Amino acid sequence: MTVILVSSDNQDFKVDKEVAERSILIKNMLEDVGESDSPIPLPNVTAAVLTKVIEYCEHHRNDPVQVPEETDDPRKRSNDIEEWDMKFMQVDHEIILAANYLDIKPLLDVGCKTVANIIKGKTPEEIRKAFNIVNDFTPEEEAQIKKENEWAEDR
Amino acid sequence: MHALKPLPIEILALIFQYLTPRDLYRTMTVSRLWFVEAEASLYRNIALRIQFQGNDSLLQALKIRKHLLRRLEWSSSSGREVSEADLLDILLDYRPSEENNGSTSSDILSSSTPAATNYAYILPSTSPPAAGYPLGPGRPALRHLSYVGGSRSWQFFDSVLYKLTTLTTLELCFSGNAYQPGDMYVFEMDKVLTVFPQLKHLGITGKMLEFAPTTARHDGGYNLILDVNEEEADRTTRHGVLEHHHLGSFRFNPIMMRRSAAELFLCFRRLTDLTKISIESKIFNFDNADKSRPWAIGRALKQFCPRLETINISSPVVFWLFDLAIVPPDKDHHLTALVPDVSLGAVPDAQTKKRLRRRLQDQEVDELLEGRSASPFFPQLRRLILEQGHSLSAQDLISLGVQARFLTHLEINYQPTFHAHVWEIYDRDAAASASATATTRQRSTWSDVLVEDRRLRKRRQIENRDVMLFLQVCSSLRHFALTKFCIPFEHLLVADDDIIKQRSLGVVDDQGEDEAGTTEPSRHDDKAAPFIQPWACEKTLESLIIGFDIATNRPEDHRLVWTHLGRFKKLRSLTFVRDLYLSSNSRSTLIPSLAFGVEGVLATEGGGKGMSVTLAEIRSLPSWWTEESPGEMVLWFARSFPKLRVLGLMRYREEVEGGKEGDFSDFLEDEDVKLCSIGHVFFEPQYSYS
Repeated sequence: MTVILVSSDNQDFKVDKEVAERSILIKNMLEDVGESDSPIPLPNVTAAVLTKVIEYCEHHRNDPVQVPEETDDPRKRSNDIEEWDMKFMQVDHEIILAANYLDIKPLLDVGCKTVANIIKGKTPEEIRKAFNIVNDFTPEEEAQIKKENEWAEDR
Repeated sequence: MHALKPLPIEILALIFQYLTPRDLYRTMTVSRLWFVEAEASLYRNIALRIQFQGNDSLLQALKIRKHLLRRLEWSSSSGREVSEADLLDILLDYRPSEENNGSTSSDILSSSTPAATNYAYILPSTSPPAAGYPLGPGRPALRHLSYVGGSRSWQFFDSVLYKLTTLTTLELCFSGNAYQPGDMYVFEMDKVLTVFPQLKHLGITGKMLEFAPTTARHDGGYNLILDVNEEEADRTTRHGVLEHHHLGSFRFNPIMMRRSAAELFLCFRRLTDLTKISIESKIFNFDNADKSRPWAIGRALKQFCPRLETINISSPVVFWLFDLAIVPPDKDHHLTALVPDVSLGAVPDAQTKKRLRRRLQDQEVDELLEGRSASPFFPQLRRLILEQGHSLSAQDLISLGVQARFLTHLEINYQPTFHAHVWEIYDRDAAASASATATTRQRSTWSDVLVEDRRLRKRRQIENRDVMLFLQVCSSLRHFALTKFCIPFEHLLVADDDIIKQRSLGVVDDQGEDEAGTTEPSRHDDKAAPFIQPWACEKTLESLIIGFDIATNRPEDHRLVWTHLGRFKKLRSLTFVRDLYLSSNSRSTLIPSLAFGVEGVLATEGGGKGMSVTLAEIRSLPSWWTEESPGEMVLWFARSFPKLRVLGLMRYREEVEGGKEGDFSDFLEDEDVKLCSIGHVFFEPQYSYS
């Protein structure tokens, strides 16, 4: 069975229901509307991004459903990204936003881990350059922050 | 590097959870927007370890940012603690030195000296106020508290602990040594459940621990009455009846299950939402094993905690999974008929006793396979993990296979305990009840002893054949691990039916010899080709950890096992273990070689691709066989399993000890091997999975 997804720029995407339901948002919407053939609008996702999301869901269509980890250990790993996912995730934050909106946790996790890996080990200036961020701290403010939180530098 | 577009704040929180404190420290000065989320992420989860040199700076920073704190891991050692003043400030937003204009009755309490020099051996004058410490408006809404250590002031500890009423996770581990009365921490289960209504996870372990008797009592009906004080009465109903609690996970020390503390099981009555228990201890002896009442434990948990689905046991404790119906003494004729009456004067030899015992066991196995005479304590069980010192019995394992409809995950990571007392325990309450209404007869012969053991349903240790039976009947498994011992090849095979019958009648013993000493019909007789009975989980199993002891070098034997493995349709991870107890010189495992039929793993019944399209990881694959080069073997696996990404190889010990390690692993540098699709080919650390 197929479903039709409509992007924010009104492009239709015909997708297997099994693939579409990798998105919990879409899965819940389908359950609510029942057997209807009505297209499902996704006003927060452009066609370009939706194409990539569908590609991801197709590749992972047979993956087992993720079981929430029992531990609430906050120390999460980011070094376990699959090779295909690594190549797929060319750090477009729009995919991360789409994964968050569509509630596709594995894709969201991959995106966040990828960005985290970019941040790791970099100095503040290197991070600013990687993410196109302007430093809006004064030198005095920056020094104050470093002094107050210096304990974290060795952890 | 091409610059990325700016990230919205709502995503930053998700990303920052993957960063270390050091990386968060650096992100704090990236921009004002990033600072807000980085600071919140950094101070959300804090680990206070007394050995850490930066604690002074951390404590000062935490006092200002305590409102961000949600999770605290706090480890301490006797004599070196975070000061009371710092703890009161951070956890309760209470500063007695301010309240009293800087003067207190205790130098320690008012001190803000660095933790590295502040010792918290509590003096009597530092007792908490009678009304408890007041809470400041800036106190954190702490959700998770883990404490490891000992203390000499449990009164102070409790005075802080019981103010943290927002906790959803509480983990307490009381380590150290008790030198005098009062050194042990007395844990009050009822009080904890009452004070922490939002608690979802509770762990209470360590050897410096006692469980207080419950103060609850029955009202003669279904209700427990707690002798509450006025403050605690708010949390109970008008009549002081205990509320049910929503605790989902409980980890505890096995001393809670001692007979003398059996009443503690009354507290389980409040835990109707409990889904997971973990029994944990680092002391590996079966203290008071003969006083254990595992039947009472099982029945209490079944009655009070019907949703239990995960059980972890990493502690010596007698724990049963099924209620086995005791046969009344006047109804055991079907048992006595199996065992010829042997007069006390004629002492049977060991072989005979073994044969007679086997008959009775086989009869019991038949009953269990039919689902008779065993009632589950945990009908919703999904995950069972057993570590060192476990007491999983053959009867429980077989009954699990037959009756555990939801069991998806089983790990047996150690051999069952050899502690003799464990296997002598039986349901004394049921036995007494059965004997009270039956006419007993004098039992004095050796056969009577055997029958009595069977009648009383004494547990027996699992053997390889019990494991095979379990795997042949349990159809829901997704993950199975059997570490620390290997399955001998002959135990995998289906024996001739006549042999099974003859064995059950005691005509043929386990070595296949009948009473005349002749050998059973050859397993390798061409007229009766051996095969491996299918496992019921071949369509569901995704992860398998197992060892095969194939003592022969017959290629057809190895091919048979590889073909059997090929039946698994969804296997993603396969790990081979090496028997801890076998000689290191024993070439005792499956040979992954084309000369030994490894291609059998690709042959699937009825077509289909089987695990050739699912297998992503192989660990501890033996690699010392010389029939092909290791490099060729790696490339064959890469071609045959396109999704394989991890291949861990097991060295043979002699190669390592003989100094040949370098020569042996050179093939890992071959270009073909390095560039193959697997990606991660390596040698396992020595003794992995052994």
